[in-house]
Amino acid sequence: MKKRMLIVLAIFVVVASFAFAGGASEKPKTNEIVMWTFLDPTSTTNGRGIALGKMIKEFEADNPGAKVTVEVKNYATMTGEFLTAHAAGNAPDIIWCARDELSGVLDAGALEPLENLFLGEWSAEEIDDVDDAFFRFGERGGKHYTLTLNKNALVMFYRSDLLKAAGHTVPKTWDQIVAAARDMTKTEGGITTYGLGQSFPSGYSDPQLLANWLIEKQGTLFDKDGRAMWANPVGVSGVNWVVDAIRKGYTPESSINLGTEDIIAEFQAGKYGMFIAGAVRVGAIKAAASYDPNFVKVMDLPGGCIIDGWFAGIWSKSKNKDLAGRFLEKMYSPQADLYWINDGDQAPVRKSSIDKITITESNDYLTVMLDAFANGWITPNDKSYAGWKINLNEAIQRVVANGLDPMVALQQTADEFNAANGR
Amino acid sequence: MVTMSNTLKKRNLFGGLYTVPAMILLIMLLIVPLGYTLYCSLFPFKYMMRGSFQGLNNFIEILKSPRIQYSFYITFIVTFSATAISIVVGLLLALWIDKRTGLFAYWIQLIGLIPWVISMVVAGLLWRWLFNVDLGLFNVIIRAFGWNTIDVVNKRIPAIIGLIFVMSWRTIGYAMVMILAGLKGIDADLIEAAQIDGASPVQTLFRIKLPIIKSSVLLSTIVLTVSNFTNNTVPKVLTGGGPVNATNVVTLEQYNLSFVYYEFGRSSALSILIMIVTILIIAAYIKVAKFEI
Repeated sequence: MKKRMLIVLAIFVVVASFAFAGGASEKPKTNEIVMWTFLDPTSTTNGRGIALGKMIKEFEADNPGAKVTVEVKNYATMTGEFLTAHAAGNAPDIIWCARDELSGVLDAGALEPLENLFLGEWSAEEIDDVDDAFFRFGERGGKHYTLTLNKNALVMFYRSDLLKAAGHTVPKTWDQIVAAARDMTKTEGGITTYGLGQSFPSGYSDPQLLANWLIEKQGTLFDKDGRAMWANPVGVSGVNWVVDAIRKGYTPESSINLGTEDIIAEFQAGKYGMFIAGAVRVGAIKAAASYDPNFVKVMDLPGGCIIDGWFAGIWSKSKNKDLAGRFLEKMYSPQADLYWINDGDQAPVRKSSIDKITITESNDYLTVMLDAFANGWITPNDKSYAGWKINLNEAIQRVVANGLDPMVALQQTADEFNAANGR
Repeated sequence: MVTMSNTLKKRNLFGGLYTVPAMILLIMLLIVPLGYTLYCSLFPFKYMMRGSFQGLNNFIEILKSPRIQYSFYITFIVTFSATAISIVVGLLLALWIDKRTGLFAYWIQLIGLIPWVISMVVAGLLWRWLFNVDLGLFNVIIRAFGWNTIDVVNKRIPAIIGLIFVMSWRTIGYAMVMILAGLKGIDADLIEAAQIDGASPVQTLFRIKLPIIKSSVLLSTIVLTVSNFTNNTVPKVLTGGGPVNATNVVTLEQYNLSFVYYEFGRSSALSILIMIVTILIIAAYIKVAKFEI
């Protein structure tokens, strides 16, 4: 009897252990779709999160039994995690990919062509409504793999009160920018306000002025083979422009190790007159400004802005492609676009939404964004361009902190970029 | 005799079966990922797309890279400095608290443990802002004394010192509590006997207390060394590896290979190297301390 009990107990323990192991990777229900994004749809303070929450509620109401589960991820590592999950066979149904990683995601065959889901049914007018540089960025071999959410443009934020006090109008050229930065820099009570905040860390940051300099002067950052095209006289003059702003004290030397989040927090605290960040952050920046938020304005940059966004697609091995496709379509619908605009302070994703917006003083940043979308620069999607922002930052770091010659620093970091991307 | 032997075998079989759940967990969580990492390290794995087998090429490339060589160098400096400071200060605090009782001792232990239990991201951000050159409390105090401010996270040497300081701050409480537990286990009669024999407090410390608490100190040292060596969060948040790679510890390099350049093959090779180095450090500690498991 005792022996039998022991056998039964042992079998139970073994079976239970397998059941426990299986429970760790519980599969979603048939009518449940999982989406990875950095937005929290339960947020009551983040405008973009609020907008997403509304879309999910409407979608679930329109599709009885359907459930959208959002797993909130760190935006810096989300695409890498998706690639790993794709290789392991348990990725989410919907993913928001970062711009620089999209080519790798497409190379890996991780996304489903949207023509197979809903795009094939769209009329020519509907396609035309969304057809722009972002839409074409998600195209390969005649198929579209992504729709771009949270379209972004890297713009110059500035304090209109400080600019006016310094006796300047909105700067348009490199000389005007540096003159405005010079005149906005001042020290009072031991605390310095710097005219120009910049950010050159080895970690995540938005592209900085050196990239805009190169794009304005030579049209691109990479040659036709995808190799870095910045160790040249144009690059040297750009580095010298940036380093000069640091050496003259318009930009703090600490910028060589400050990330975008640091710069934003310091701008909100009143440390800078101008700095570069994604225009999508305007709502959040105004919300936490320690001064009148109406003074926060954005302007474009010489040579046009770098454009960016989140490229949402459907996992190619998803078991719920149709439902996931319908939700992606929902996030791109005319109604959802208004949620993104009104709740999330986003630029419209559809051309037809532009007519529905009234530009006022509080949302005049949209003018700059829309202009950037029409004329801005985006990395090609034919090859991997991973790490270029960090490599450009490190060139500045090496000149400022190590006293390296600009050409040597640019050559070193260009070589590192080329090697890391297999060129 | 035969019956006895069979019974023992059956008991061993059942005993073995009871360990199956734990073994499955260990295999799934440790052995399988380790095996897969080793497998990945033998291939190019750009964007998780496997290339052709290339043997130890990833390892050779990593070992030849001056950037990664420096990363190992700075990791050793930060790890051993932070661990040494934590153990020495933790030991001194433990000896001090050992003589105290009641609520005071309890509160000191509690406060000492707070840095160990709070999130490393929170700790890193906290110190990053405390060190801020314009607005941080550290430089406010420095200015109050009329001294020049120190841009801790943006200058090479201050950034390294700052990182060692924060990593020590995080682990001193842990070392203190572990060593204190060892001290509390010392038989009071031994100390009393030593005092009757005329041993000074210093002799009591070095001849009786330290040899007895050797295990506590060694285990704390091993735990803290491994914790500091593999710590990615504090360097990432506090200094981001900068300025100009000054604090680019090896786990940050591993992070960049994985999540900036998507070189999962080389990143896996670096992971294996980090594991080997960690095992060697632990083995060296045990050998030096003549510790018997």
